[in-house]
Amino acid sequence: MSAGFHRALGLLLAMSLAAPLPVSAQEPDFGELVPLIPTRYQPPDADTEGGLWLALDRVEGEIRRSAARINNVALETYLQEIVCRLSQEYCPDFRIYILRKPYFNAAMAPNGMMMVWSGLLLRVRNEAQLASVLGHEMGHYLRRHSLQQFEDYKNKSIFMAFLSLGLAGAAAAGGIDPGVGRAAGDLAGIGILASIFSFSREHEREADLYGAQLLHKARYDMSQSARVWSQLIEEEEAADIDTHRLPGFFASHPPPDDREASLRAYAEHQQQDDAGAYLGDEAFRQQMRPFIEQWCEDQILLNQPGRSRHLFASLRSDSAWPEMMSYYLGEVHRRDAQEPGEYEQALRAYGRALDGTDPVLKAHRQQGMVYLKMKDKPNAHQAFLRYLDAVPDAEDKAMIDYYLEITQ
Amino acid sequence: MRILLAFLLIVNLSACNQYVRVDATEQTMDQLAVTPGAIWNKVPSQASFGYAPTWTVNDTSLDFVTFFTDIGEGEALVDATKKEQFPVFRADMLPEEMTELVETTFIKAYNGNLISREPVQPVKWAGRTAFETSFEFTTEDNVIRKVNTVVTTYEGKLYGISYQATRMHYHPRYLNDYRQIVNSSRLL
Repeated sequence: MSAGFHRALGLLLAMSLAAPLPVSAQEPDFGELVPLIPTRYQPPDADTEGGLWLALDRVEGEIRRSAARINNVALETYLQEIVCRLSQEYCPDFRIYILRKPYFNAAMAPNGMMMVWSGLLLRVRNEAQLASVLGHEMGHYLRRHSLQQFEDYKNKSIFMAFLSLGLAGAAAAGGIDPGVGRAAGDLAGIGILASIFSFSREHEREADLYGAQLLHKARYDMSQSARVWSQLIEEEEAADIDTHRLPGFFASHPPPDDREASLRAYAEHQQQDDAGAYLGDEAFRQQMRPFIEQWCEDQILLNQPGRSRHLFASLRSDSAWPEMMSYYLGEVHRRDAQEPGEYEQALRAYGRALDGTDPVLKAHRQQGMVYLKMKDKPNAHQAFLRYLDAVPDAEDKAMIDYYLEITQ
Repeated sequence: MRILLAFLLIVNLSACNQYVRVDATEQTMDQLAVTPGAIWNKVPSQASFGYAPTWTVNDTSLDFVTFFTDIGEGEALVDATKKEQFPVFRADMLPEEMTELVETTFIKAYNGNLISREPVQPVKWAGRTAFETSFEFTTEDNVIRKVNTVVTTYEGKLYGISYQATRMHYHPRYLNDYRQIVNSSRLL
């Protein structure tokens, strides 16, 4: 991607995601919100908004061609259908792009482009939770928050100084630097811009409320919107956030505690009939299943064992692909075995990965590796034999033969 | 005289920041000795792959070979700042854990996405049993990069060589030159 793309992307994401300070505890106002933008809206070419859309259209072109884009018609169609269910007549105004980024994040551009990161799809448990996040982003678009913020800053004399500061940060963060330790990422650029272009706390509150309204009208289970935040709170508490500060969503949003409370209050205010509320867990899992293994591998490659351990364990507890989550929990224990008992925990986890309706057969092999690390050659040997039995055409047979030789 | 000494100092210091042609003679890095062809340039340390000895033909954004030497217990392959949590070598690592270490290091360094990996193969390298693999990943600039790597342990430390280049054009172009380096390797 060009440096220009990264500059614009950083600007876009910061404007969509950022907010400065936590929302203070107030009695929430649950007044009905309405769209501030007509359907099929196109700005006049000559004005500020027209220029912004022109820049974002170029960004969208690069995203469309990006190697990070998960260019899968079925998956994009599924998310588009959720957006349409939420937005009704505004459905044609939104375009969804799914990016392979292992962090919880989503962004909405003023021109109707929405980006969803794979780390978010890995973490939400069902369609209602996904809809709550998509609805929040749609709230920013329908209430024109990005444009309001852009207009506000444009009128300030210091705007250009801030813009060049932020753009320089995004460009530097967006490039590739093989000098490790200065490893590049779009996320550092977002953090810089987030401090400059941030939605007001009122915008964030509005987006939460609007998303919840859309959820209610579309008859999704409203209790799930608060659950998204409680899940993320638990993950942050489990993660080593001092050394693995989570980029993306939390770098630019206020703490989720207030949001969880507000959304829970709104759900109670609406007194939704739970019997009719749609969760969509089966449909969601069916759509995500082809990608889950890759997204779990991406999470492992982040080398954040505390966060990964919690994430896989909690996903397993929620019966989301339990065998797959057990396998990757085993991987975390194996790769980060620094405490006594980790290898035993890895073996147990791999065992659970093999015991279910969707067994992960390569867990036999990983059991063999753990036994080998525990210097238990007989059990290692047997595990490798079980692996070859289960996967006779294994691509890694040369290494398995090596392991069998050294464990005889 | 002082001016001359200052001038020489400045010249020497500036040379540390320049690319220097690598002679086509045996080169030694810790206990690893290799004999390259005449095409490589030594990358200044501040531009190398995490300060590991690195050679390139055109530029590190296109192609490079990097050498992991004398990596001991608890050490990462690259000398990173505290902010970046890279995995570390453990003396009890299995072969595929060592290649995982290389793969994870590259992916994290580039904030990349893994596309594919080949199965690890046991091989003979530098007179020892070693393990080689290759993997491909995308980076933020939409370029697909391919890495070949060979690793082993020697006197309890990890030694290895990795070759990274853009999958299109550069990787196949210098693959044989990388293999020349690998085939010439000795552990002293």
